[in-house]
Amino acid sequence: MNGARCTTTGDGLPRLAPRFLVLVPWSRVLVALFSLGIRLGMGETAIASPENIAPRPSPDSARTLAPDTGEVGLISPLRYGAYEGIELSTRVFGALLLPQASAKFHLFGGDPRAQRWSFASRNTLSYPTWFFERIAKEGAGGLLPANTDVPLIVSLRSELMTGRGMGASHELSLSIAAELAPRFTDGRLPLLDFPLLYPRFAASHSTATADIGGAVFGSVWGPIRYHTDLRYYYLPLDTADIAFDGGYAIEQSTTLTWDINSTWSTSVSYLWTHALYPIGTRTHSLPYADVIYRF
Amino acid sequence: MGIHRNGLKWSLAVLSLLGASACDPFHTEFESIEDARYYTAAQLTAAAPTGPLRVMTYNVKFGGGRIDFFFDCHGDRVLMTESETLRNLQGIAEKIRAASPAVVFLQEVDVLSKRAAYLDQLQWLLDHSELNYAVYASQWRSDYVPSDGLGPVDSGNAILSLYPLSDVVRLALPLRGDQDALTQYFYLKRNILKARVRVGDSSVVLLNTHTSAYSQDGTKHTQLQRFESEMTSASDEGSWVIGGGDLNAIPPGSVDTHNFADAVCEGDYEASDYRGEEDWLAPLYERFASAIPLDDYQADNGPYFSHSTSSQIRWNRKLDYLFTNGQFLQGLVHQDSASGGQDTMPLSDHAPISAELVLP
Repeated sequence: MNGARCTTTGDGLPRLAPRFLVLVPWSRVLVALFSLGIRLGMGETAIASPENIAPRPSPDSARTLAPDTGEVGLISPLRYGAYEGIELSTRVFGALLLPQASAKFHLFGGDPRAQRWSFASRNTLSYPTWFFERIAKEGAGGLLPANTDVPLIVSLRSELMTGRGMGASHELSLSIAAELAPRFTDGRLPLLDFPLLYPRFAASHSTATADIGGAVFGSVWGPIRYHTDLRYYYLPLDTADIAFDGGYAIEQSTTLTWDINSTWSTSVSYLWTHALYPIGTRTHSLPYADVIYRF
Repeated sequence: MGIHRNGLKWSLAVLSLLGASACDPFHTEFESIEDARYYTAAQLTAAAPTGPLRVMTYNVKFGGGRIDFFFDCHGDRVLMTESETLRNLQGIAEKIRAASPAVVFLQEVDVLSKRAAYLDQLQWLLDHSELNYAVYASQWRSDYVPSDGLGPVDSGNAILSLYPLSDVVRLALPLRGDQDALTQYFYLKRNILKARVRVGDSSVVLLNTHTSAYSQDGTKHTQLQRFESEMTSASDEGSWVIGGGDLNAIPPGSVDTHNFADAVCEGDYEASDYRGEEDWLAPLYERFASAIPLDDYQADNGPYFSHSTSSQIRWNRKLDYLFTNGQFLQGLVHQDSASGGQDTMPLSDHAPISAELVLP
């Protein structure tokens, strides 16, 4: 193979390339071309590039956001790197219906991007009573009867996460979680068996639930990132009031994110869910889009 | 029974989000003719046909007994617990066992509804009576009714029988035309449940229905005409025919036609003004024999009333019927211990009616 050698590009992939081509700073060329394309497409808006868009850990990553950095989306949570190895989060709009706050702590292990396992825990405290009281009203969607006597419930969800890199631009994350939602007052709360809400509020009906899942995320091309995950919820419901022995839910979602520039991203997603409800198994899907701001 | 408009705006968003690509994401719709669902009792009772065929019709109000539900406008209850449902069903099963019919038409029996604690009431009643077989046609089915906290509903008509049932179909009745498309999507879909039972050497066609209660556009009249037409067709084919159910209409010659003391609902749930509908059942009475002959009823309405939405107000109108192209004996409205041997007022907002068909 005269005039050619095996080399490695910036993304770690081996390539065969002529010698003169190897001398070209391809990463800069690509950045320049990419920036030009974005500039032509976006007018005078800020420019995205692999240099000025530092990869941010996914919410599902065992990594935490760097201190004093954060992001917030219409649907995605507000996340903030409070300290090294500590990330705080909440859902800005979701919190209006369900007050909640999460803290993710990096426990030990190396950077997953360096193909080392890293471990973290994420703990979420929420107040589902607030949500149930909001929907147990006339004209509030008909999810719960207006005469529902909602008990005082505080929920704590604890999640153990681990992850490691797969190649240079992909990451695998696995996690197992348990949610405890004890009641502090008496009340009668009907099962909320509406799709998607069902696994998320099941602990309020059974005191405890558990779930396990995994996610893979990384770069597709340039400013396009992907995230795909799969999760199983075990829902041992309190069946004192109903003829049902408990159920489960499986959820799978995939998101494609476009980093428009260093501060704005937009994404499209679908969420697919298959669950055993008291009326049997049902499958639903939910497409949605999001806009994310980074700081 | 129905659904409030409150929350239905919200349900539009739900529809657009969850399974928007599906034609019927909440599984509420039916074909014009569909198969019905078959049931068999956990333990079969030996059945040897003797004498006339005793038949009963009973709107069991989804085992709700006399709980004051929101749709009756007497209370605000929406959902029952499993223990409440079972307690009410036990009374209904006791009534059915005591009357010992060979065929029972049920209306408003829930097989998988949140309001009835997801209990399959039809299977439960089959297992707690002497009856062996049943068929079911849903009248109100939705994976989720986004109104009033109702959630999942599957409620409908059933025929229970001591003898095997065959040729079972669900015949869709016309839908109300006075509702917007979204309301209609989640609303009740009335039907006629048709089956055939063989008793000894006789074959009897059975037709059970529950016609519209709240329509203001003549839908109920159209449904009644369709019911009469189905009975006539089966009769013209040479079969014995028994048809009945909750027709939500009063007989010709009823003294009271409106302003019933128990009817306190207004608006969407106003269902008890029968003015202008007095003759809607006349064709059925003219062509078929009734468990309660019209002359008897017109002589004195009171002993034949079968409905009141309030346990505090005695039965005050007749909405439930049994008709045949044969001859009925022993027609009875089981109003109380003096008429049927058991007080039925606590069991449902309808009283059961029974009669015996004379078979050759």
